[in-house]
Amino acid sequence: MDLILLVSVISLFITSFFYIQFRRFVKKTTNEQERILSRTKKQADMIVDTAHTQEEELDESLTISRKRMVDAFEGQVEKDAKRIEKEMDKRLSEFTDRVFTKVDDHIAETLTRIDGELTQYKKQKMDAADEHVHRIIRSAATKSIANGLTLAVHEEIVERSLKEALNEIGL
Amino acid sequence: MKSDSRFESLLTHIVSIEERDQVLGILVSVKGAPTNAQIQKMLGTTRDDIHRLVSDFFSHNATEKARMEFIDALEALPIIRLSVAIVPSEKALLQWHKLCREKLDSPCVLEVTKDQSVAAGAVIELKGRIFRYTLADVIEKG
Repeated sequence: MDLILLVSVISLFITSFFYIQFRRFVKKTTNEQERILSRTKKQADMIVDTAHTQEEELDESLTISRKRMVDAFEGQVEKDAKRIEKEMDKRLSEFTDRVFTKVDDHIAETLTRIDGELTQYKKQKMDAADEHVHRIIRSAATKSIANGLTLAVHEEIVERSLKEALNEIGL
Repeated sequence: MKSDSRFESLLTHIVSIEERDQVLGILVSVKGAPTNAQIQKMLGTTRDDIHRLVSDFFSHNATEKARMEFIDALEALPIIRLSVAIVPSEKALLQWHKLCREKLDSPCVLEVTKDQSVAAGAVIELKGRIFRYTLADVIEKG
């Protein structure tokens, strides 16, 4: 009986010992778990903070980068615009020079042609005027001479003409 | 061309184309030989010698055949066309006609037209040829 009791007591002691050990283990484990959880939570918070910080830094960086890109783009656009403007000015100037050269050549050619035509026209008009004046003079001279002749002289001239014509045909 | 001797005397007295046309006018308007009264009436202002000669002719040849032959002879007369600056005197016309008649050795008639542009001298159309002997041409050639 004593043995049973002893065994029971010993079992109780052992069970108590193991229970205590188990409780310690559970407590230790719980503590460890809480510690780990806490540390993990801290790490998570830290990660979140870091993420926020990095996000802010990223935003700031992006803003700066975007501003730089916009500035660079605007600068490039302005530079390109100036280059294009300069190029256009140059081409326009060359084109204008070519056009004016062609126009000048054409005007010079036209002026030369017109000058020639005018000279020719002037000569024709002068010749016509000369011919007209000569015709008037001839007509006046003819009339003057004809009117100065008497009827007898006219008739004499006609007779001579008639003789000439008759002789001409061999009669 | 020698004309019929019956008409020779009469034809040589017809100087101008107007006289020829007047005589032709009588001959084509009658049948047979025209009477003296008809001749007198139709010749009007032509020269007396033509009146006389036409009357004489028909007094000796009062036939239709003679009339037709006379018409043919008148129509066959050579025409010498003259463009002159003046209206010539009858004396000059007769002189020119005589000259032509002698040179052609046959009767002929003159057709004289006044043309002031001739100035002096004449443009003569003879046997299909044109001769220009004018003061205007001489001055024009200069």
